[in-house]
Amino acid sequence: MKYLFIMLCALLPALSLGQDSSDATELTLNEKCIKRIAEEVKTEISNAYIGKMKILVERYEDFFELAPDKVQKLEVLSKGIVEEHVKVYTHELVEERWNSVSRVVLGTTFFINGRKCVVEGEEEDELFAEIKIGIVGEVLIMSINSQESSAAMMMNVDIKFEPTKHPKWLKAIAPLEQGDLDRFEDHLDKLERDRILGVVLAAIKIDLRLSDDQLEPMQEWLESSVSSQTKGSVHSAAMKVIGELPDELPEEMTQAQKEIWPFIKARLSTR
Amino acid sequence: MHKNVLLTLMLCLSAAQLAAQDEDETEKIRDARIEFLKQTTLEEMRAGLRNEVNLRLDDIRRHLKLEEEALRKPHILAKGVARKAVNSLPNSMQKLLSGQHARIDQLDSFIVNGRTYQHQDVAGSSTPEPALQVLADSTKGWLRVQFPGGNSTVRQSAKRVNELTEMEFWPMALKDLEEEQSDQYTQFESTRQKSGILDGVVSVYKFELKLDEEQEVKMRNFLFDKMPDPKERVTSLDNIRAAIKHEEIYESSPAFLSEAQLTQWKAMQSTLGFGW
Repeated sequence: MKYLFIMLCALLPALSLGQDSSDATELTLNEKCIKRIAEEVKTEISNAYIGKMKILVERYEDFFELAPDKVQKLEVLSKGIVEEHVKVYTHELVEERWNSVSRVVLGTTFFINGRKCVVEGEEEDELFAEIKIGIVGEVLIMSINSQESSAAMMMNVDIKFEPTKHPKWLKAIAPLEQGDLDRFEDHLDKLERDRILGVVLAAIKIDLRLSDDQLEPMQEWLESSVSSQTKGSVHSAAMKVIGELPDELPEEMTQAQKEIWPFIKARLSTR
Repeated sequence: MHKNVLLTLMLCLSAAQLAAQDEDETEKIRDARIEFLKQTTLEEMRAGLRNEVNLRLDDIRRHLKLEEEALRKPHILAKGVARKAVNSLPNSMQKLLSGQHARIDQLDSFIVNGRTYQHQDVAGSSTPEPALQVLADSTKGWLRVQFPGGNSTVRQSAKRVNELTEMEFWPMALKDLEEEQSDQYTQFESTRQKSGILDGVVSVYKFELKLDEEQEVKMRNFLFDKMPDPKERVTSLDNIRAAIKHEEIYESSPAFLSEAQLTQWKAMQSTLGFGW
């Protein structure tokens, strides 16, 4: 009996060591996963912002008729601003939320915006996480879904990214003045509004079975009727705009179209 | 002593009686509310389907350049189908509202397809918010009752309406036309749907990618074959959104885009999962 007790005492530290070492391995693997995810998150956000910035620089070029050297300067600068910003975002998104992410990431394989990634040096396993990174308006959204349905999460990161207000950017676009920049903002707002009106017109064209000669009066009617906010997600902005349209259609529409309009309006503006 | 017991018993009995009366009264009011809600929704469905029939027939007449007389028979047939469809609805409504009694008791008004109605038992003309919302869409076969607050949406498709409008309505309405006319119109309808969806999608790309006029035309052609087929029972806005999110489109890179546009094109994938 005495020997048995001694043997048990001798075994205990070994058992607890075993426990520790298994925990440590798991943590290391998780760390590796998180590190890899952080890399990919950074790439996705960078690509998304760089794409947006390139188009924005082109818009500045067209609107202000900028010289090529100025355009080149803005392109380089915008890349730098994105890189700097993404560093913060990645930190905010992944590293600071370590606990939430590690709760979800259980495997060495994950998908990021549809692209398959495997953690380096590890074998593919059946457990995976699906990560989506998106930018809607100025909000960055990240969602993680694990194969285990209970482990899903979505994060909205409400950090505004306003590259054109960055001191370096403002310096680079000098001598443009506030008045010029305000005109440019109005120009962008109009383009954004046109985008929503285009979607709304398309939906109404389908549902009201508009003929070619009815398109112009309908477009004019839409332009004169829409005063609401058209920023943000296309679908919800379009729904909102439709919900605020008047109950009476322009006179160029047929009686049948006029009668069905309130029903179509209710259908399109209710989620 | 006996007197006191008797008095207490009598008081208890009358309290119980009053409570029962209250319960009866609540139940009566609730039944009346449900009936009013059902009737209003059915009226709305009837009107919706009648309007849809008129719109479609008007469209056929305009497109095929027919006289009104030529569509008299399809009109009568379509009206009959519509009536049959609506008559099957009270059961669906009953199902939707069963088990929701407590909520119905609490809501003083309801909104059917954007129009607000106040229960007749509620005094005053103000419309308290929030209200129960009903979306009755005969064309798409939706009958949706949405209670305010959080996850309390009850949805159910009125299947009978779906079957009748989608599977029986069209063939019936077109039955009396010549085969050639019928085919011509069906083809026109399908092209119209697809072209309308493309309009919406291109409008978004035009903004996001800063397409010029020439690129806009090229983008239309590029997307035409790659677009998913429109779904019948969703709204046109949903079909536009589905086309924008369609993964197959992003697998190939449009050759007519500039370097900056291509970067944005690839990056747009990251936005697709959310909001659009």
